[in-house]
Amino acid sequence: MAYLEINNVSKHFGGLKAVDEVSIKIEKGQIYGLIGPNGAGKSTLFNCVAGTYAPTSGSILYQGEDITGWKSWNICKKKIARTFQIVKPFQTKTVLYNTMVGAFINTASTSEAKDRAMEVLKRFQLGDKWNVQAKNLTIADRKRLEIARAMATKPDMFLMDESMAGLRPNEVDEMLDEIRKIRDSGVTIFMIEHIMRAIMSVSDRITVIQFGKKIMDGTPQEVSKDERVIKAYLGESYGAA
Amino acid sequence: MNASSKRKTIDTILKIVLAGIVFTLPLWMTSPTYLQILILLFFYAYLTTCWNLVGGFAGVLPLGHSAYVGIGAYTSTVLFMTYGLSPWLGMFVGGILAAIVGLIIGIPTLKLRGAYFALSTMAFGEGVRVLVENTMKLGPFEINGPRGISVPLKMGTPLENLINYQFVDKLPYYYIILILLCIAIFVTWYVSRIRPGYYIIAGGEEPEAAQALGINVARYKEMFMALSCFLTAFAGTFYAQLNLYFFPKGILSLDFSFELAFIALIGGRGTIAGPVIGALLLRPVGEFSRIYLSAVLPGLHLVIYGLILILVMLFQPRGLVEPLTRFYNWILDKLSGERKEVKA
Repeated sequence: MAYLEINNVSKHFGGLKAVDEVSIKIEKGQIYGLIGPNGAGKSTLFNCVAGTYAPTSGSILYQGEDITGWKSWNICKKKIARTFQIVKPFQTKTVLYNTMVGAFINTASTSEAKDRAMEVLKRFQLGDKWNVQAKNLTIADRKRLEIARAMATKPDMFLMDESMAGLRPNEVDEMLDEIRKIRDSGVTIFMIEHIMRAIMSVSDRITVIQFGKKIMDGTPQEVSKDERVIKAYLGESYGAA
Repeated sequence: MNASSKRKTIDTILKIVLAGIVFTLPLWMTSPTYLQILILLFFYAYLTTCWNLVGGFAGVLPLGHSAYVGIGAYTSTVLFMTYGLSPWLGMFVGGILAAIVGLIIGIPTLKLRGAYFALSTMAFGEGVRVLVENTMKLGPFEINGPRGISVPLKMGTPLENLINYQFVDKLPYYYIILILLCIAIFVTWYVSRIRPGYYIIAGGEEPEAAQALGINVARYKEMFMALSCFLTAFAGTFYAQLNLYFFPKGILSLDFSFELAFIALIGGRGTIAGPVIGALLLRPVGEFSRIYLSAVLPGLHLVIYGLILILVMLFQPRGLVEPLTRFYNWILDKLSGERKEVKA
């Protein structure tokens, strides 16, 4: 039994099949990548796992337990955390406040939440910015805050939606280090990413989807050589290359 | 003594002096007219502080809080008239009733966003007014429809007066509303420092992100709505006992609900001091325009509020509490001789 099992999950919006019968199995301790062209349904699939949407059909099993259609706050209590593609910090609040909101899931004590939040912030190089309002952060720091805040809930499974989009190349490298560190601390990671260099170097396994359907899955090497994937990204005429 | 502990001492002294002035104010401001204005000022500050618990923290704009003031006033008064129950106890009955009604209204409406919530609460507030205006008798209780209710006068010994929540002069009312205000401010301060406070503010600002962090946002909004309505009803009982007469057009009017929102927005929504600052600024404007301008145009004070609101939203969108806090810190810095701290 896999750690997270997505079995034949579909999500329809009216007549649009945003996700169509997708199955993915993620093992404990993996970094699992999800790629696909724009509008392929990656974020929708993520939202189904994270509880933002209930899938139209199919099931999602987490450590053997059926969590299909659970509300997002209950999913989070199951120790599955997520970040958003478009970061959503609590703008008018400080970095510390943002992170404390995450830390409160494991404690009702304000001082304990504060200590835990500071710990997480130091880990993600935000320790000296704890008193800065979230809206005044740079993009890279906002992305980092988004991760720190979610990590403050102490998840076992982490869903990362394009955490590197908009970062400079050196910032991408820093982020990759962070992601590996999170994995090494025992967290299983399921991530969407558009930066090929990044996802290829960090993932253990990758699933490719297009038009809501799974095209293939495999190791990064297998994926990068696959003709269907090249077609999906570059169009028919490049298929033979 | 170093500069930062000196700063703290000065801060404490200033606050004690301020509290001292507020608590002794009626001793040297003996004019009943001014006392009445002060009582109403604190009354509005109290109500807006209660409103702020949901309107400020939960990121929604309730425009029907007059209904809960009305529930408080009517409940304690009819219980007093019918069963002779002390309005102090009636106040709590009214509070619980208001909290229940707040929940019934809040559970469906708090899921709405932005203007939809505001509109539905406004419709509810107006609905209650029309309902009350057209009801003469509710079960065993006389509520007299549009004519309103006069609280029966029962003057006796000071102790009886205290039990009956009726006083000959205004002074006791001043201290009652002041203490109520202090309680409301304390509640706001306290809840903003514990987990539910963090959760409601997070949920108000970014509901989706808050939900992903394990927060059942709707549940917390409902909790704060109930708390806000509970405390709001206390003001209704106070209003009834202060004036010993109230009627639906006054206590259940839309103006009233709007005024709370005006005060909160101008003072600083979602802050602890904002509602008090807003009331401090707007009430005198309201009172004086009512006194001197109502002959020219009744309701002109609301137009003036609107103008002030536009100016504040243009230049200080987060309310006047922000520049005032900066000013206060500046004074503290000057007094303690400390160099200005860079606060982010």
